[in-house]
Amino acid sequence: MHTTVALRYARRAPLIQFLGKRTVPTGLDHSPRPHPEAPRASLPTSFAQYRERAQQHGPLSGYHAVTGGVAPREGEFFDRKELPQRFWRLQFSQEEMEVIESGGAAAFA
Amino acid sequence: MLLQTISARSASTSLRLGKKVAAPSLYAIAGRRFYSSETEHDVVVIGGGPGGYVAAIKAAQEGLKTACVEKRGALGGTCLNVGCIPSKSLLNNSHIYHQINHDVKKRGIDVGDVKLNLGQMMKAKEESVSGLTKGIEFLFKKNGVDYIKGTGTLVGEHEIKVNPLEGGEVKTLKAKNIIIATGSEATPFPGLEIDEKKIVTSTGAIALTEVPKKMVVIGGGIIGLEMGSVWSRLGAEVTVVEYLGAIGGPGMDAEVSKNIQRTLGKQGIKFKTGTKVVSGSVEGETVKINVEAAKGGKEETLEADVVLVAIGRRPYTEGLGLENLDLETDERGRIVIDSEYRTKLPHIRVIGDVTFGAMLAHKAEEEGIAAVEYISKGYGHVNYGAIPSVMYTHPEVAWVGQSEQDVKASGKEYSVGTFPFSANSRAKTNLDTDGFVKFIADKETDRILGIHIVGPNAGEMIAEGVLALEYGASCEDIGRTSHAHPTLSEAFKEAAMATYSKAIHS
Repeated sequence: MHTTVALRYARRAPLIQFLGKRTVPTGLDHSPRPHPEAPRASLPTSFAQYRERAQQHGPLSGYHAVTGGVAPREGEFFDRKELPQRFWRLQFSQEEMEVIESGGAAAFA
Repeated sequence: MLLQTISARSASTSLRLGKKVAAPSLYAIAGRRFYSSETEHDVVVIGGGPGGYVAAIKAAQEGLKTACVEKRGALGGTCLNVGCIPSKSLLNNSHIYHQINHDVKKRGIDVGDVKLNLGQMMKAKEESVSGLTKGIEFLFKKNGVDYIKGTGTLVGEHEIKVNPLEGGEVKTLKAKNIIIATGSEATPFPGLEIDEKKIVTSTGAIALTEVPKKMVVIGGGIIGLEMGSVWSRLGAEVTVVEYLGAIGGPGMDAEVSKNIQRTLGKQGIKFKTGTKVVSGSVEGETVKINVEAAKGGKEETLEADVVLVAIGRRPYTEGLGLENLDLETDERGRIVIDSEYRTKLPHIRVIGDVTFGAMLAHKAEEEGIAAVEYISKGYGHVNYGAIPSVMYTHPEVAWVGQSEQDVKASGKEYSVGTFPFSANSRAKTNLDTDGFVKFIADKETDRILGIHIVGPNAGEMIAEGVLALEYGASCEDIGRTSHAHPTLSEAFKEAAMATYSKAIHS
């Protein structure tokens, strides 16, 4: 009697179970790690070096590249040359360069 | 006065416009010339094979402005143009021809004079290929992918120079993200010059103009055995030379390998395993291949009308311009990437045969989707432990997960269950009973570790196994799932039952 009751409640739990709708995990670590099929357990140093260099110019964008139009938004400019000419860097003449390099002495030579 | 002027210029590093100037983002720093142009894209995919074209379509579906650059002149890559698809056409039609000649009589079908029309068989193959390539072009149009026929070369961190196939002006594409999917090419055999007529790769083997009397296949992997099967069925005397002691290549279970070698042997293919090719030469109409035992021994000369070199494939990066960006490759020529398919330049990702992992079209497709999802969502997924392999001989061979030799080597306790197709009702009615299904499971938990099938329809049947492995199923989960009767898939269920308990029909 007891065995029958026990068996009635001892339902097999399949390993395959519904886990709910898929969601994109959050808080993932996106630092470079070796590819699972790569023969080596470490990445070349160039991966870290590139990032270190790039970080000097501002933080790398989060986990993925920025998407959307490639052109700058209204009022934004990626390069000084895109601005009116009065904002361009002035060209130094050879004479000016010599003045700078000589600390001004070349102006009196 | 002059010094004051200079000082003022030096200090003028910020632009005083009263308007916002964009902070230097990574891509702006890397390539400062992102002024407006009609050829700017969010994603440019280089290579239109199964990895590349799937990535391009997915990227467009994700709302990214996408272009795909392909140098072949037709989409689909090696797989669709000179690989999986044309070979399946020939495998299917040569199988029918072989069946009519050798099999239908016992089924009660008497046929008259059966003749091979190789030209028509090749035409059927070409129609399949052209229909499918045009289908991808249609999908590109439907999803808004810019299809650019030409050779793409990386010339800047965000710039790809495209040399158009049909001549015309070289143009430069600009892209925030680049996906490299340039695929692979057949590895040549040192000392044998490929002419695609007498000494052929798989590309030449699917386009022979007559059935060779004798064919030698160097390499007993999947490509060699499939193409060997085609020409053997059509009447060639085929000898497969394999350096290793077993056929099938890496990943194939040893028990399956022995079984399929025996079956293909019965079909007329000769095997020389544990044998290495020493040299070869073309003498008139004949190719002479000198072989000897891999461990050393007496040399022997094999003569053939056609020699198929099928010793593997290598990544294809010719003209890609990796050197322009100093992107690394490993000792096998594979582009080095991290777990999110990124090269050292995070916006340049690499998928498919040209990087790590098995050279399989469906693996490249999965990576194409994942790479795009990393770009658009920051999360992608490929389970490299659940990528199926299929060999389309007859019977087919298919597997997923670990082989028994792999599991044994890992030291894990495991259970094995098998079920022969000779005990399956549908296989019996089909008079097609060669082969078996084999499950390997963790002894303690019953979780499936590997599934191996040699038998009719194995390539379709393995899908259930891949799903089970992906979901982390146990053999009992399969065994307790109803499978229709009478179907070949009952053999799958019964093999699972044999692993955790006992099969009913054997």
